Amino acid sequence: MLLRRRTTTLLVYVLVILTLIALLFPLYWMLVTALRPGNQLLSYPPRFFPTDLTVETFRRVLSETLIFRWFLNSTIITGATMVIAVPISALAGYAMSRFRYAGVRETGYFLLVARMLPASLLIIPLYFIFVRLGLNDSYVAVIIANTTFVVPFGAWMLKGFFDSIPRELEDAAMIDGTTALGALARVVLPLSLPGLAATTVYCAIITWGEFVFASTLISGADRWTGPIGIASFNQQYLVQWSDIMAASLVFIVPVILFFAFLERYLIQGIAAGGVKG
Amino acid sequence: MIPTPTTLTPTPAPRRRLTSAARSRLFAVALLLPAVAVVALVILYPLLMAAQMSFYDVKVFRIARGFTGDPHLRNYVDMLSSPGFWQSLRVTLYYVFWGTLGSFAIGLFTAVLLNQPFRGRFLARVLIVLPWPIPGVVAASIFMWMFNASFGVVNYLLLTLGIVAEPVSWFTQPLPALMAVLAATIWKGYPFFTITLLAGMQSIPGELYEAARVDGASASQQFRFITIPALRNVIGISLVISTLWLFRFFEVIYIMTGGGPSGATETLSIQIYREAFQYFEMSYAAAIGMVTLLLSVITTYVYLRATSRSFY
Repeated sequence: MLLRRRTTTLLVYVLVILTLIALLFPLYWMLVTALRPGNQLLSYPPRFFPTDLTVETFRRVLSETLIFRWFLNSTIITGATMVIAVPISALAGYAMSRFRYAGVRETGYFLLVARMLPASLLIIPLYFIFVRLGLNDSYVAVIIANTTFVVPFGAWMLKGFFDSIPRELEDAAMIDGTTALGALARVVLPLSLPGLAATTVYCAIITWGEFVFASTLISGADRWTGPIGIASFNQQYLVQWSDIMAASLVFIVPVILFFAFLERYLIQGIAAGGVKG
Repeated sequence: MIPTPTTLTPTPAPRRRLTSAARSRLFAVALLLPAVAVVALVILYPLLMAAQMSFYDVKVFRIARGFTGDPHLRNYVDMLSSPGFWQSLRVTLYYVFWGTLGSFAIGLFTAVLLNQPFRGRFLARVLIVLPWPIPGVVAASIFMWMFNASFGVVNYLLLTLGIVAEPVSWFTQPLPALMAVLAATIWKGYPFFTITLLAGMQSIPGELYEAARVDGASASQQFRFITIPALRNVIGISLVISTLWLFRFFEVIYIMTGGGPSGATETLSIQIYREAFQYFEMSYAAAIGMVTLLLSVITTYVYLRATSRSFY
């Protein structure tokens, strides 16, 4: 019996390691490519454990492309979207969690359906609307479009977190003389800080990688966001793969860091939004 | 039903005051209003506008003039008689089916693996779901490089293992292009299944397994007769979400192939965009969009009907 359990454990470890190697290979390959000298002819046949690593590519990408500018643009757009979207999501998520009136449930489903619409369909009328409003080629347009796309996700995710906070806490606060809004601000929100952080990061990750809206609504290269800049490398006549991989790596560092730190809460939120949604 | 104190003792109201029930209802509305407003303005209104556009001929250069002429069905007639639309529909169904199936298979496998007790499980979980936050553009770039015909690592492995005799030119042939696009899609899509299925597995009461063990059920029987039935709802809903996600998934295909070669990877989502922003056929694109939307709604309905029986 003990022997059998040991074999099972060993088998699990072997499977986990093989799975990790297979599934994370693309990320490893990105790293290795970014750390190799740029010349592709030198990198064939591929070496899985190269020794001639260099940061030359990073230096070139950072100094010769607009990547800093794109990074900054992405930060501005993501930051502004979060500032607008997270409070809106929190209010809606709270209503969906606490109130059972006719209409609240339906509103929840309305938000759910809204997040399923293809962006490539929505961008057509949005493009018209923003051109008419004189907002094409402006961050405002992208921020508005992104906000609407993340609010439904955020509201459902936060509903899941609010559901786990006992109602009695607010009732007690309200007996002590606080208003409903006061109870939300002083009791519920402080308790749901992990949930708010997870939702913010979740929405930020979606916005950070958003492609359709930004690429259609913004034209000038110095106003691009990261994903459009990276995509533009692919369209060059001679594709420099180490450059693309280095730029991609720089661009995903914040995403990976945030994700790694908040993974536990994020997973809770995704599971709640997906399973209960 | 227990009456609330306010309805029991009618308070003398000198000014018109709202009852606490009405106030709380108003509060709920106020909380939801910003979200509904923003979603209605930027999703519902454009959606109605797109629906309207699909019955007119709107060209990008005449935006200022808006809708001219009488509404008609020409866009829909053109679409249904265009071979390009039917091919795109086939490609979409193929792409969505294999993309969802592939992601589901890897997701289920990794979820079962992560549900085993072993040391370092938390680290393993973070690493296994790591592709989830990677932006689509970055995933597409990595897979384009790995599937590069001359220097790509995939061809190198296939050649070394003797699976192919000469390098595959992935992006110039229909089926290989679709396979490369699917590989990137599945890589980006499986973590969602890992997360939802793992959460589902962890909420199955342990007593069910204990009882089964007492009755002498093997591990595979436990999996088949407890885990899968108990996960039925979770599986159903995550399949719906993944299917809808793939119906509208855009950037990975757009970056890797742009829909080519000769439409082999042009899903409806890509076709909408190309018609609108490469050929400037806005109204025709909107018509395809409406059909895509209809397909998503039907899919959701069918899936939910098929899977919404509960286990407990």
